Parts: sequence; C-alpha cells; structure tokens
Amino acid sequence: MPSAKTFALANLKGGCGKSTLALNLAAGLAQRGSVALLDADPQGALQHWSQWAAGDVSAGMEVHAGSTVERLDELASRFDYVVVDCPPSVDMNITGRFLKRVDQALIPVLPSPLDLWASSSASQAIDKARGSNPGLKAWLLLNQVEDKSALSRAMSQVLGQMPLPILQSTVKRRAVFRLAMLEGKSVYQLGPRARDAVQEIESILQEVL
Amino acid sequence: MSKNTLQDKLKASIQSPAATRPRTTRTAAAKTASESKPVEAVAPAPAPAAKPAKPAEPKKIYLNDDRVWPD
Ligand SMILES: Nc1ncnc2c1ncn2[C@@H]1O[C@H](COP(=O)(O)OP(=O)(O)OP(=O)(O)O)[C@@H](O)[C@H]1O
Ligand SMILES: [Mg+2]
Repeated sequence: MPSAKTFALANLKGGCGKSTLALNLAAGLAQRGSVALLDADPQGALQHWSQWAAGDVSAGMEVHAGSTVERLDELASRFDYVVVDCPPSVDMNITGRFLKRVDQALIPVLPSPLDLWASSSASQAIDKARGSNPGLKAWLLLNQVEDKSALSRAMSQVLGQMPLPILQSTVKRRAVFRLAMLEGKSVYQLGPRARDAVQEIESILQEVL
Repeated sequence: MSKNTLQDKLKASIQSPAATRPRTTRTAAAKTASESKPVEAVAPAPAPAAKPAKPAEPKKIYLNDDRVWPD
C-alpha cells in the first residue's frame, strides 16, 4: 500500500521546466525525508543528470527510471516522497497514467502565450484523471518568470483566472538552475549563489506540503 | 502596451483566435509614445530576394534523395 506523498511534474507542453523543477523539488524534499525521483521520460534527462552527478545527488534521494504506475507504487512503499518527472509526449499516455495515481500534480507554465494556450489541455488532462483519482490536487506553477517583463506579470494575472489554481510561489529564470545541472547538483548544493533559487523551491514546498 | 491590454489580449487569445482576436488596427495616434518606435525597429525582415529561375551551378543529386543539396 503506497504510503509516500507523491508528486508529478506534468505538462504535455515541452520545455516548461518539468525536469528542472522535479529535481530541485526532490532535493528540497530530501531535507524532510527519503525521496525517490522517478524519471518517467524516455528522454532520460534526469537519469543522465544522476549519472553525471554520480555521488553528488543529495543524501536521502535516489533517482530511478520507469514509466509504469507499478514502479511508482513500489517506490511509494519504500520512500517518504516520490517525485515523478513526466514526459512531454502523449505517446503511451504515460502522463495520464501517473495523473491517475499521484497525490498532486504541478504543471509548470512559462510566461508565454503558447504555454498559456497549452495550459487548457493540461486542465482537461487533470479533469480526466480526476475521474479515477478524485483526490488529485493540481496547480499551475509559473516558471522562468522575468522580473521586468510586462508579459510575465500579465501571464501571472491571467493564469490566476484559469480553471486550475496557480501557486502563489513562482520561479524566476535563473542561471543557477542551469548551472546546477551542469555541476551534477541541485540548487541546494550550490551555496550562497543559489540562495534565492532555494528560497523559491522552499516556498513551493511550503505551499504544497 | 498597458498591463490591462496585455492581460485582455492574453485572455482573449485563449478562446478561438478567429472569433476574438481584435481586428481593428490602431492608428499611429492611438499608440503610446513608448510604443511609437522607428519603423525600422519593428519592420519585418525584408523578403528574401526572388530565387533565380535557374541555379548558376550544376545541382548535385544524391542517391535515394530527390532533394538537391547546396554545397
Ligand atoms: N527557472 C529556470 N531558470 C533558468 N532556466 C530554466 C529554468 N527552468 C528551466 N530552465 C531551462 O529551460 C530548459 C527546459 O527545462 P526542462 O528541461 O526542465 O523542461 P522540461 O519541461 O522537462 O522539458 P521536456 O518537456 O523536454 O522534458 C532547460 O534548458 C532548463 O535548464
Ligand atoms: Mg523534462
């Protein structure tokens, strides 16, 4: 019987920050308990990252690959938290399967009309999943916000009026999120230069936990 | 463009664009000073020069590929 709190980073829109946020949220959760980061994306970005990271992956966090709910259930029976990095593709409906199983879905959205439009189909996917997972909580999460951009601000307002709720916390576009990948780390392991990035991830975790 | 206009446009864009996209072209006078950029700054890239009717050099034809690749 799964006992973990389970999260899916999901959006069929590619490149919105699912993998980046999955890994950093998992690193934040690793400070609170044991975490399995499940790379369900055949692109294997997080597996690649964990191989590159070798021993540097946060203590208390393991990276696994797999795209079945059985794999999720198995991890959920052994860890306190499971974070699933879903693929952008609709092939095999991997994302749909996980949405039917997880406790919470976080849907990263970039501050761009293309991503706004795609968020409508994300909302439909959540509705569909709730047919068999009525307790599913789902949030939009604005990622790669640009402080000085009027469009970023407008997107934040407009997303606030979409059918899915939006997290108050947002994530800015920051080089440290990319640097952390390159260094085989999460932002939690980058020291003072990533302090603001860590604060953003912590703020998300405080909202969803 | 004011914040409200951006928000309104984003909201409208979620619906069917054909049905809701504002069709009126604003006059230059209606634009704010900050929007009134020199034409050069916003003009689309010039259309590429028309293709010559005949290539100057012989085309290379690759096996199993009916496309013609430049050097
Ligand atoms: N907050 C951020 N600040 C800076 N760069 C970011 C941020 N979030 C994501 N990126 C960068 O944006 C790109 C896309 O992010 P990522 O790969 O995490 O998205 P994804 O949704 O997992 O993509 P895919 O759909 O292909 O799986 C990457 O280059 C990543 O480093
Ligand atoms: Mg990804």
